[in-house]
Amino acid sequence: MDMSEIKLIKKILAGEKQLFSQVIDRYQRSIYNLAYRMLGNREDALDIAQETFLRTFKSLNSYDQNRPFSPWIHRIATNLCINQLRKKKLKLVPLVISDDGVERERQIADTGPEPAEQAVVRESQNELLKALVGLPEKYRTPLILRHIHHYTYEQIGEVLEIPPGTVKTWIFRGREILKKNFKKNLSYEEGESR
Amino acid sequence: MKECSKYIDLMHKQLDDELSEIEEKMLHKHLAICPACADDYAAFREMAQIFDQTVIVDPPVELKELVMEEIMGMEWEAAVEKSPAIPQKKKGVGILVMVALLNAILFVSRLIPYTWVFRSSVNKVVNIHIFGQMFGRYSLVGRHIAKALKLVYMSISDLIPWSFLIPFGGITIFLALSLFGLLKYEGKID
Repeated sequence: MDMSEIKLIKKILAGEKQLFSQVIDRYQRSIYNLAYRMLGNREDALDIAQETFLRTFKSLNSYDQNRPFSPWIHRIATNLCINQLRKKKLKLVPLVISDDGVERERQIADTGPEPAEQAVVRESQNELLKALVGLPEKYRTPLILRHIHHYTYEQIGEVLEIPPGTVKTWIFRGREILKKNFKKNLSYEEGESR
Repeated sequence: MKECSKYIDLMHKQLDDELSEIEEKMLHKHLAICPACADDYAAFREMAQIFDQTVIVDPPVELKELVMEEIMGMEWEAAVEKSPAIPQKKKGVGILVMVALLNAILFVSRLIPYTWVFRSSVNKVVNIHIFGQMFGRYSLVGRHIAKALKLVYMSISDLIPWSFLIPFGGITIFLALSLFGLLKYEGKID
């Protein structure tokens, strides 16, 4: 946590509650996106992001200021997401693709013509989604943090409270599972086009 | 092929943007002659491409509004009530129950052939049978463990009636297994 963040937290703890909005500004994008990828829909992502910030605020007292803040708040979010997933047994989110700046999601059944290239991208996106859904939760979280949030193994380790070596192992295993699923789909498509 | 695993590692390195130029050349040289690795590589590239195309979405504006509204309405003392910072993952409970059941079944099933034990309250020799059955039948090491356990038992059993030892042992094993199961599940051990 940089100095300005420590100062900010201290001020909030001293009673300047309105300054918490700066914490939200810094982290809302990251937290919301994490929740969105984990949970699969915007309503749940909003709920969990909201709950994450509320919990963060309520427990600022117990936050150890000698340790970085970002992994701490992301850990709160991750655990809330996992609880939520268990509760609702949600399916995983589609990884949203955009090539014109407009977000697209769950448009697989969308009607109307579309450029062939887009359709291909969407199709493969769908395949990844299918693959990710079958991926155990313990591999899913680090993969999302690594490849979508671009965290390092060390940072992921801090969030998940596991050693970086274990993070690496999980990510490798997760990728191997995804790879297998991809290859299956590829060979299926080849077989189909024959 | 065995040496292919080396190249798979390089592919992972590439996904982490950690591949050196030399390694990249090595990899591509191998891909040219190994169709299996070339397939893997294609699948990895496609996966990476899809991850890269993932769009970071903007959170809705109401997120900040909702949180701030709630926070500003809170009394500070009430707000910092004992709410756990890190919500406990509600996992491990199912595993604990399963481990407990399994443990109970194993333990009871171990004892059933020895039910006569219950009738001979001072038979210290019986212990070697139980431990021997558990550890000793098939190996030398097992027999030594059984002997050691018997010694331990003999020394304690003067103080504690042997019948206490069974529930005690059961609880010990149960706790050890539960802890292991929980740690494993929580990812603390791999």
